[in-house]
Amino acid sequence: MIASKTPLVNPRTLTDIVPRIDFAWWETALMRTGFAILLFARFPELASLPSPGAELRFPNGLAKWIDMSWALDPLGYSIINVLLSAAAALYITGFAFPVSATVLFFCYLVAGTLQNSLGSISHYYQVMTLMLLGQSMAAWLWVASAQNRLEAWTRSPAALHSFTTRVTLQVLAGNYVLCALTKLIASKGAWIWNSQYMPVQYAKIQAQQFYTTLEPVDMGLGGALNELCTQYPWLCMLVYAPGLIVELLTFLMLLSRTWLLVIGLAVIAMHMLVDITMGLSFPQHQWIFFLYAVNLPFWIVEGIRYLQLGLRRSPA
Amino acid sequence: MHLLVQRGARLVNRGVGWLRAWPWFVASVVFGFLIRENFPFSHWPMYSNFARESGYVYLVNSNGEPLAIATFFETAPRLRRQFEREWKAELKRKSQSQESRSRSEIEQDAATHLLKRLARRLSPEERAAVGGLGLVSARLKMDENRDITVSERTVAMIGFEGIPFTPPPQDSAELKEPL
Repeated sequence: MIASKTPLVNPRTLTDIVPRIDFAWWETALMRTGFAILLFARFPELASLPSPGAELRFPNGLAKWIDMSWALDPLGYSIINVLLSAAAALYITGFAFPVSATVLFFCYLVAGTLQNSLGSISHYYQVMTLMLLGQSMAAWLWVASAQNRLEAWTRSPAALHSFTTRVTLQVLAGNYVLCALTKLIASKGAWIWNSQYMPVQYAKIQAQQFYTTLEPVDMGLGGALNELCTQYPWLCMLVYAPGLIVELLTFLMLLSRTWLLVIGLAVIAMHMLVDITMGLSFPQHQWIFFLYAVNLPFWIVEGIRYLQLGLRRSPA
Repeated sequence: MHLLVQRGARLVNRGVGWLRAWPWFVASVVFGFLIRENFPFSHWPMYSNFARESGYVYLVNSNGEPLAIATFFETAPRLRRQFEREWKAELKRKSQSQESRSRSEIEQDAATHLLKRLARRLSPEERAAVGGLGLVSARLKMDENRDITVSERTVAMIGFEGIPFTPPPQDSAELKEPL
């Protein structure tokens, strides 16, 4: 009887293997709110998925084994949307977190898998879906190892949300580092050297933007920079090398609050540079790093505390 | 030298310690690398290497005039990747069945598959207006003087006979994906 009440995994063991940045309940609540709004706002439209009845010529991921085409039907898509809305609301409250995170993961998994089953792989929804996968798994693990297993359902425990936030940061860092490693492997270590041919990619992107809408493309500052890059190959390397370095060093954000802020700002700056120079924008990735890494509310509160402390110490 | 080795060993130990402390980080790298492009996993191969040559595709009507790809709820990058995937599938089919199709015939078959799927999204009125649907493949090349030239050719052109119309959903909105 006593043995059956003993948790399978000691919660201390689970949480201690991750470097401890302890997030306050209000920090994680704000992160969850921002992320839930992002998930709700950026969910793929039905029009961007394969047509109902269309052949999924190149099933991707789970679609190779499981028929997900029911979600292409307007009724199926509506059900997914209702689930998404309900789960997003529950996710913000933090109650029953394992369920809300899992349902959100399921919604994105179905839509993303179907969208990638026509032969072209988009890299728009992977990060958000992987974050949800990490959060769901971490939440279920936390519940399984908690002393009071009901706690995650009846309350919104700060310790659970702090743990899943640390896991989220690891998932983010892992994928950005992997992105840099793939560049180094695919280019046999010559990515920075080969970036001198970036103007070819730029011309391709410009043409692709035009043929998508048939509207004139104004690349603004990017156009002027590309002109210079076409003339001076070393400038290409100078402009694009920092991006690779930032991706490679993303793991540093797991070390401390300060590194989290520095890397968060660096990743956002990198995405902005890519947007300006190549016209490739990933606003949702920027928002994710703004919410989870830059974590502005924490620094505002820290700043206020520091000022109050300074005022108390200073003579009247 | 001995001191250097000691410091190196200490650094490696610390690195291994970090990796052990970050299981979700390690799992993200390892699973992404092994599972590759299977949603939601990815090894992020986009722009992983650059070369002097590249290419893109676009759609034309029966007169060879460009059509906005967004009309078909697609983007040009997605269309290019779909064409490449169809082309690889045709190439595989050829090698398995020992057929004697030329490279341009394989490309034509791949493009036809793609165009037939896209044509389902055109209404009878739109079909009458465009007359036919074609796919143009453009190749970009940077020469020794860093000048970029473009060469284009129409890979395939189809009519609309026997292709059913699948109306787009009512709540169609602009695509949220980056170009």
